Amino acid sequence: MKYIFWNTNKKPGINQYLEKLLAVYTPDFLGLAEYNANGEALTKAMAAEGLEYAYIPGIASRLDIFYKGKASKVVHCADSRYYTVKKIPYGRSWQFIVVVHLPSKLYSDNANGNAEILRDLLEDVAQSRAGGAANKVLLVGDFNMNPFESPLVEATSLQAISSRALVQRRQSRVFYGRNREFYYNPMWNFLGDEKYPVGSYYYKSPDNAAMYWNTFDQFIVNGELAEDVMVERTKLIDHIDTLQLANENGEPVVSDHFPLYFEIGE
Amino acid sequence: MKNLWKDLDTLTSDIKNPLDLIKEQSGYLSEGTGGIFYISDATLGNMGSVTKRALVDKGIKDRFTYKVSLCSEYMQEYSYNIFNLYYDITFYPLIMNIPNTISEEIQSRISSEYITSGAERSYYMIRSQDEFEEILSEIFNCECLRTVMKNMRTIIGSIEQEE
Repeated sequence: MKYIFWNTNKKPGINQYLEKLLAVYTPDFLGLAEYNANGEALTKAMAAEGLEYAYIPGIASRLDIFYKGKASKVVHCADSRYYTVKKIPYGRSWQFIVVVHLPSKLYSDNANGNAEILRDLLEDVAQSRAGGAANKVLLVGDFNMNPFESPLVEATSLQAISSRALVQRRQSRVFYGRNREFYYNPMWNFLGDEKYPVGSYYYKSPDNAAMYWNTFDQFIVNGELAEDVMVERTKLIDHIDTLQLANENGEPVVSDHFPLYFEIGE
Repeated sequence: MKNLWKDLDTLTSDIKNPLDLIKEQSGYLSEGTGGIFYISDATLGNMGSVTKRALVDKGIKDRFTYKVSLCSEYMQEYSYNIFNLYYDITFYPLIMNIPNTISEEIQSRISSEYITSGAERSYYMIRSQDEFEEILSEIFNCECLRTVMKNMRTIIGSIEQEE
């Protein structure tokens, strides 16, 4: 399956970019944060091009979804201001997909807050998983943290590590008496300048420790899905055909984030 | 030996179990919406550090812990958490933690004691059944929850249309 996530930063006229994005990449699932445009208009425009997408606006969150298929195939599980939990068909079974937009730490030190939100999220996912046989879990979104930051790697939070092999082998570990599931975060591969663009979000900070390039936009899976991740097909999109999403320095300009494209399974 | 128990027939109280109040309100909600919505009460498994601290600070034991959520018969796997509830056999005082989206809206209108806030939740100490009823009324009628219910109705409508 093909997925895209994009924080569109309330960009006016974003539908023209999304039309192109959907037409070129034909993702099965598009998750959006900070989307302020008319979702119904976009689905109509896509239908005119022969692509049927269902628009699924957030219930309690400000996260929107476009799903290639019928809206009734998307099962709603839980919501909060910062995430939405859905269940979608995956091959012959199902997967839980959690679209996330955590608060920014650029304006306040809320690393502990983000850990708290992730714990709530995991509690909601656990409750949803308890109701049936589906056990594959995918989290995608703007985490407003880099892959190495504490709330993403701590055992008491998400425990999202860089080694697929270790996640598949161990699945979980006991920490302070509780069994805690490992998650695999393929976006560890997107730190540094071996690939281009260098990150998904650029911020020129006046702080002592300024990162400039950040990989805030990530997808993270549990052990049940880790094997199916096609890491080599993952990319941050800085142009769609002739449409440029970056300026001459390679920094995002249409939104302040680049879209994240990835594939899992067939 | 004679019966040492006295006045056993007077062991009744006007104070209701907080969970029973919620179940009662769930019935009203279901009745008022033609069976579309109800309130679920699942026992809570995990407790975050902020919750633990709030309970310790206020000397409240978490013998009963519930996750109270808005649900619909037509979206069977969906739940929207309205608040979590922690109390001991004495019922009151009890601790509620409420999503900030709701708390921000109702905080100025309630008399319950505000304890603290995390990134997603705010904590209140509820001292009596009257205070509990007051905060429940504010939560149930806040704009945030009404929006969630409207959005759920829209989704239910479009699913029915598709089918």
